[in-house]
Amino acid sequence: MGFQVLETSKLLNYARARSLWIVTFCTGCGGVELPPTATARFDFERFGIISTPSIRQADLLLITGYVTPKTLKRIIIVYEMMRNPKYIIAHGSCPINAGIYWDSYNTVKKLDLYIPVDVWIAGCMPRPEAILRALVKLMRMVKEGKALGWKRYLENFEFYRKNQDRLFGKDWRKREIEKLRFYIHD
Amino acid sequence: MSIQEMRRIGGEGSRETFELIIGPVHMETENFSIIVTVEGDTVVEAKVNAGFLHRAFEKLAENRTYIQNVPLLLRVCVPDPDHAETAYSMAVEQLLDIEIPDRAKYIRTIVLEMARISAHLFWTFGMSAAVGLYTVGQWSVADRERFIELFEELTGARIYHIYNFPGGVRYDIPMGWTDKLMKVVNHMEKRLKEYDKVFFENDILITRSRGLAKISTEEAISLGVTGPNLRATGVPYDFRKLDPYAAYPYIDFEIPTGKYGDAYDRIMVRRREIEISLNIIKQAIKELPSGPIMAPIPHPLYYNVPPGDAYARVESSKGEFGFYVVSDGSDRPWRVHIRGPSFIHGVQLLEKLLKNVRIADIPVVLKSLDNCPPDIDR
Amino acid sequence: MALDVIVEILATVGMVFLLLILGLIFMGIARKVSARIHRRIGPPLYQPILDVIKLWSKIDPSSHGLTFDLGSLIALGGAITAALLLPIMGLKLLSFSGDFIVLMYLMELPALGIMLGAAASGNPFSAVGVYRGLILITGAQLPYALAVMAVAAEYKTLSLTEIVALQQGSILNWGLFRNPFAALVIAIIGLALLDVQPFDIPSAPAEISMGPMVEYGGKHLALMLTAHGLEFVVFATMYSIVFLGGVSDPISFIVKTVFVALLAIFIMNVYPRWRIEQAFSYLWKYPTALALLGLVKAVMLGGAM
Ligand code: SF4
Repeated sequence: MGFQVLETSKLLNYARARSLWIVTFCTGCGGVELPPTATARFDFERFGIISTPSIRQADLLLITGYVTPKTLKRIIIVYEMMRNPKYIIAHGSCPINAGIYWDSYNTVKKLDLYIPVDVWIAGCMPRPEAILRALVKLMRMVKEGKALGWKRYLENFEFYRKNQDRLFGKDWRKREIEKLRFYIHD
Repeated sequence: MSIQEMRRIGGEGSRETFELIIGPVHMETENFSIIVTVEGDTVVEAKVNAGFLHRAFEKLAENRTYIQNVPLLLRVCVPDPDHAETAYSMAVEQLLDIEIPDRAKYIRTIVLEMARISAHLFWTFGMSAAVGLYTVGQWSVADRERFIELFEELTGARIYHIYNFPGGVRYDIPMGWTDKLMKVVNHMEKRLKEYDKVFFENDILITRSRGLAKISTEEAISLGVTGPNLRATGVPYDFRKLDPYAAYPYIDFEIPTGKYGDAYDRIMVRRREIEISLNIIKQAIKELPSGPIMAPIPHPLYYNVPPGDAYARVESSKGEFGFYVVSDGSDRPWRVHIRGPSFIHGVQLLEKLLKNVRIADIPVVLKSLDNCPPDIDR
Repeated sequence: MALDVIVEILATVGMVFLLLILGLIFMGIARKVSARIHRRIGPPLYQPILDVIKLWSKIDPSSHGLTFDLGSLIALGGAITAALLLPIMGLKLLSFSGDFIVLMYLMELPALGIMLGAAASGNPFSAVGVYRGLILITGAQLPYALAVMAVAAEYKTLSLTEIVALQQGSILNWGLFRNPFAALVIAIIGLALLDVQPFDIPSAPAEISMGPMVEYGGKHLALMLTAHGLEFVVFATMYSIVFLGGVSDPISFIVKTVFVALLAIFIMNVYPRWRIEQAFSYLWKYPTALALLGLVKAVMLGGAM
């Protein structure tokens, strides 16, 4: 009941939309366009967006480019450590279909088999304008309460888990958590 | 859990050690991680955990034709792609045994120096954030934007230009472009002085980085260090002079060197390089010859390259960037090897220099080496 | 009689609420002015309020035990208590004859609260941040105490209300001109207490990912942001009261506190961060010497100009 109010309240959704905090986690080449988006020419702080190095404080995970299995493990862990509600923007053609690395043995071809993505940006090195457009679109979705990737993840956890296990092997979570023991608490 | 239960690796009492994982979710490391063992506030051992960005370039290049490889291979080092594409083009030109026209040489020089400046300005962003001064970082990225805009007008793209091509450059300079470039160059010269005041000559920066992470010339050479990191130890080792390419032989410039090989020297060498690159651009614009921009190259569909091998290298903003290409006479390379500077700077040298520094200095050392994680993993 | 008490309670609650909002707006000013220095447009001034609402709207609980929860509460509680001690615009909420000293030491409570909570979180980055923070507080202690003594000796009183009364008259009666040394030292220490450059060592985002705050998210962070904003306002108000002639009417309150805050923001945007041992040795060198000078001046010349 209480959760219902938290999820649908107009004021809360407005505040969520106007203050998206990004995790500082550059996963691929697209990360090079984030500083220009953050600084004088494009300045995403106008919309209340800042980047924070702490995962617990963040709401938005930007997947800025190609994803290798080793990175994907970290992405999943980071995503699960973030607090609900949380959103993902996938950035560039690589997360969509591996783009120019379509025949590489070490890139993940379809990202949305493993984690839920709210907004996609097409383009090989999307321009800052495109990033801003995606951010604004996500803000609109959040305001209307439509960015529900985190709910999809909870509801279809079995599906995502099965795909993840197929890629990394059965007990990858345990192994990874063993490595990062002191950074993960739940 | 409390501090006392933190991961202990060994040691007793006040000499016990624990482990810190820095990156990849960290402001400075980009997608790359360092595992440091710390005793108190001092690093005893640092291990680089790379491989988050491995895309198997050398394998992919074997399945693509020579021309298809240009847009692929420039993605090796993201902040500085022009040097990669030029090095690859030069290797193919050696194999094809063609000489590029004079105008193309000069245009290449201009483009490469612009790329160097934008890479260094991008590095300034990271460097100044590493010591906690965000102002100059914000300024430098905004100033880099002016160069990016010129790139866009010249090549049609912001980051990946695919402009230097085997045989020359793809498009000629548009009308009025050089005037705009001169304006930006003059503007940049003025701005550099402001950066100096706020950042490069800042007392706190000097106290923090003077004498930090020193490396001697012999050690640097034996590790294979190149680029500004080697020049900071006092050796004027620069392929623009030693193994000239493009129009560098016709241009008069000096090579900045440091004295002690510490972090501050590395910072200052890069800062001086921006100034010198601006000068080179000015000279190249003044002497820009007219003529064709592309040497005759084989038809794209029958792009067969005679058998043989070639190694071409350029002085990128981070160090020696080279491509070794082996051809077996078909339309695809038989083998491409990439010699990037960041593997050496980001793994061996970094692990060595991080010993005995404070935790607070890890980002400073890391950024002063200016490595590029996608190039470490390739 | 009863009416008086009710009015007083209402005024207190209203004042606290106002100060909380004002604290967040001050953080908004800090972000906006920094953005202008960076040559950006920057967020609107009410941005931190939206941030706090958003942080309260997080659905998951994010606790690491009781101490962790208490940490953020102590931070906010300390800041509120400190705010109540200030004689602002003629309101004297909790003031008593020794409130200057109490205020000075309450200003350190938010930092200690955050550290207490962070130590319970178990993240190595928090641990590093906590010991840095403790070292920094230790380093600031000596010049801070000396400067406080200098101010006390200067005015020969420990009551903020009397300090304000003593500064009336001409502008030369202001603490800034009566004892510039103490004013300078307290400004420097203020930077350390507010955790801004060059003293943002405990929470260095580029080194140890926000240090003590790394595990705090959601409601805890909301409390902390509020506490931090309030601390900002309390410091600015305290500084205007002790050195800039007091804040007796709304206009002087706004003008003086914003002036102090702007100074801090400008300094924060042109200085890099020190290393902890450099900050420590700096704090024990120049500020300590200056504070001693201030003390000597206050004792030798007394209140006379
Ligand atoms: S889409 Fe293009 S720019 Fe983005 S990661 Fe893939 S190759 Fe790089």
